[in-house]
Amino acid sequence: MRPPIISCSQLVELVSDYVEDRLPVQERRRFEEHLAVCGPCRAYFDQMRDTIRLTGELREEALDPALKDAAVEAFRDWKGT
Amino acid sequence: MLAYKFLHPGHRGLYSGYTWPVGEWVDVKGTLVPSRRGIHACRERDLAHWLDDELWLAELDGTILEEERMLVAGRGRLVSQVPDWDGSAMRELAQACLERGRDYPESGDAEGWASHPAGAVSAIYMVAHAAGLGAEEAGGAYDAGFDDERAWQAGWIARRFGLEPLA
Repeated sequence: MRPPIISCSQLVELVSDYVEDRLPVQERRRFEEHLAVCGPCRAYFDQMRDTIRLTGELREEALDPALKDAAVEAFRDWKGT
Repeated sequence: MLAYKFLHPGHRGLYSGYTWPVGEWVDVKGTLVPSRRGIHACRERDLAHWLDDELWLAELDGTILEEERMLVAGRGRLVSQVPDWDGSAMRELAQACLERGRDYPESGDAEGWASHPAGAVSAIYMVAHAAGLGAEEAGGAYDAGFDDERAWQAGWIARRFGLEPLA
């Protein structure tokens, strides 16, 4: 029997590494084999890749000052919770 | 050589995210590595393994690696889109697979997946998986049953959309 392809939850864990090309080829192939046959994971992967790409393009100086202040305020107590 | 290439809507690669220019040659720098570096495409017999919303005829050139289920080339270009292949065609294939797989001993929840908006590709795979399990149950090899079913699925696409054998 063929070796099992990775599960949906494994794919979720590996998305960032895949997009940033940090997976060994064998794991990349298993990741792609799963994407090739799983519609919901394709949708998830598309969204994650777009998110990773867009956040990678963000620069602090590009943020609207009011938005930056709001984000700082929203996360002010984050470490304490 | 000519080959087939499945892409997301807007001729974007599912795995790479790369938006392909139509008609222009794209060159790869460095050594080809399947699943990592190269223009990935497939033969008619591989079609069912790489289903996506757009199906293109592609021309490959330079170094070409012939892998088990894919071709990996040093350069390639999109030639023309198979006009009638789209998401609804994939759902049509899923229904054809379900009909064919009705008697397989185990097809999981292929029918449930076929009715899910993004589930056609999953249903098509599950029927092939069921064929593999059926072959095993009958004393044969899983791979033989699975591969036969994938070949039938590829043949269905070729017949339904009038794909010519490639040279």
